[in-house]
Amino acid sequence: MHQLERVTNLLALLLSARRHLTFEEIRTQLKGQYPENLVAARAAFERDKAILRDEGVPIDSEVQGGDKAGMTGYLIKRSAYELGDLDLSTQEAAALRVAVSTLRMGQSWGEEALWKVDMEEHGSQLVTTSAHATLLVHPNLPLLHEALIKKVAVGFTYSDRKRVVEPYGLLARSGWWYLVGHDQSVNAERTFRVDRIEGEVSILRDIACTRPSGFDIRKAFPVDLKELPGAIDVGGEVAQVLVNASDVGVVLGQYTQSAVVENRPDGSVVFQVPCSNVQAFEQWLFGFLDRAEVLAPPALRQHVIDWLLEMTGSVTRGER
Amino acid sequence: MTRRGPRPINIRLRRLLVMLPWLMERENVSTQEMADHFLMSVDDLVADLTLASLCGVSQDPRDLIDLWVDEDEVHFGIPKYFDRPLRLTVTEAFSLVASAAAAEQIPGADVDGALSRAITKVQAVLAIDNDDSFAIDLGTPDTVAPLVDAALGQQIVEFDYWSVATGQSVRRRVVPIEVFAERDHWYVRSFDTEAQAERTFRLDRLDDLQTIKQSMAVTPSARGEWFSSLQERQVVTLEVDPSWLWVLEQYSGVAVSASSATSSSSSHSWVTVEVVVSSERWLQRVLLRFGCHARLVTPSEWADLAGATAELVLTRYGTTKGTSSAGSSIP
Repeated sequence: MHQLERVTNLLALLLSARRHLTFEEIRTQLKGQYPENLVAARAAFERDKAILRDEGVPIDSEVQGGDKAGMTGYLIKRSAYELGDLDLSTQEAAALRVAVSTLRMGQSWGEEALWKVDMEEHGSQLVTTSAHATLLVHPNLPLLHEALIKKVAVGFTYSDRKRVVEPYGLLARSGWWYLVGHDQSVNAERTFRVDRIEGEVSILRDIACTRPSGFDIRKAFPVDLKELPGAIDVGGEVAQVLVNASDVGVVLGQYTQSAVVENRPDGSVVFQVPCSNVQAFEQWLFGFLDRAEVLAPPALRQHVIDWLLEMTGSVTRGER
Repeated sequence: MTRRGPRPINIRLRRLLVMLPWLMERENVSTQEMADHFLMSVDDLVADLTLASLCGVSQDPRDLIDLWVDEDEVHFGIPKYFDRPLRLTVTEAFSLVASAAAAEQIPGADVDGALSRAITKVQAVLAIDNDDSFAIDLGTPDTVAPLVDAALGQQIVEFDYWSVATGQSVRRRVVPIEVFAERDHWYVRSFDTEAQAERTFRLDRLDDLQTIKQSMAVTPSARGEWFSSLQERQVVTLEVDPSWLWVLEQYSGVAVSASSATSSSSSHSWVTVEVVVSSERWLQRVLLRFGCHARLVTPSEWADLAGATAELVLTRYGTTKGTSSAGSSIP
């Protein structure tokens, strides 16, 4: 017998049962489907249960009393198994199809979800849209999202350290996913880039999470990465950068007129640009090659010069 | 022909549990239509349905799932076990919530609030609080909406486009095909009426966008890989400090196609990566961003490019190789 057939039979049996069934009762009912050998049969049963649970089937287990005292019984409650009726209108279902088609995550999770929530639809679930976004998802994201919904903590390793984090929010920004939460190991709020979590995330259902009232994930994390706290102190959080006339339009598009400090006669402009995170700032600055120059703070200007001198071999890292 | 192994049992079970209630709603459906809907071959579909028809709480025919495949039609009889689909899994719930959050920021995705109503119903079923703990910020610029409209109507638009290579802006006249966000930027793939070819433009580099009251029928090609249309595509090999590989993460379409340990003068191993570059100017920026945390290995004609680029920028600071840094010119 194919394992899929046996697993489907087990699912049908546990869904149809009116009370918890013990392994022996299941084995008797599914006659001849599990091996004769008790140990092998038990192992096969455990594998079948694991497949069902991995697929999200809620198998309820309960230790029995009476003449089955000490034995575990199994049941699938139909109310827990079945997806409730969403009662989507035609327009609402179509809008969900557009939404799933709009976000390209590199996974088929969205299409699989549409199969369930939109049972009326024939043909392909995805539609062609004139605008879309690609935002790759990490396998750990759904579990982090579930922990967020259930308001429980998660455990994972990050930067070689084991963490227990109470999740406050999940945010996708600039193409990356971030988790913001209370890191119990340092007793402070921290931000983690989800793709840099090492290994798998575990949900710690016993540790409840209380989100600060009024918490808004959009405000908990700066839009401009150059505003993130950095490890290098350059004596200021805002840089003055002289930008050639040819590139002024681009910087205005990023920082608007409010960032202008000085308009020079040759069309070049001095801008104020955040530099709390020197690494992020330099990544931005070097996009202009020699068409932009840091004027202040002096320590930042020197940092840029040293970076360049090191590239030419004039200065080694030890001298910096 | 590619040979493939057996399909994983979990995938087959997942499909079966959603196919059976879907089939029950219809009772009769062609195998081709059903296979198309569930993104599988007709052969695989028939194999899974045939297996399902042998399933039930016992082998008594009255207990088996009541379905059969006859010619090219699937027929469903009396429902017994799987009337409703399995509740949404954690991944499926996440995908719907994320898709809706992203689509809400894309012009035209939420017609008459239908998406908002739909996601409210999904959240209710999943017992998700509608709070501010989950967000997708696409940073949608104002130019997206008119470009989407132009793409839908195949209308010509004009804009000034700033070239990062030359630092100059040039007026372009294009028919937008699609607007998309990838990593940190928005782009418009268009048919350039002057070049008579498809071109992709970054939205933060275009200015003075005007829609021309004129349409032009274009037949878009299938979207290719980044750089696929570039004739002067070049593969560059770099040795990179692994803790600085993140520098490459910001580049859409950059393929880090090889990675192997290699020794270096530093105390730890560096990795070898191959990067497809679009131009020398582009590579100069990448090398500046890496600083001394990467070395160019091939092609040999660019072996001195990093140092030369650093010297070029140093002249801006009144500093050259072998001199001390100049004083700043703070206004």
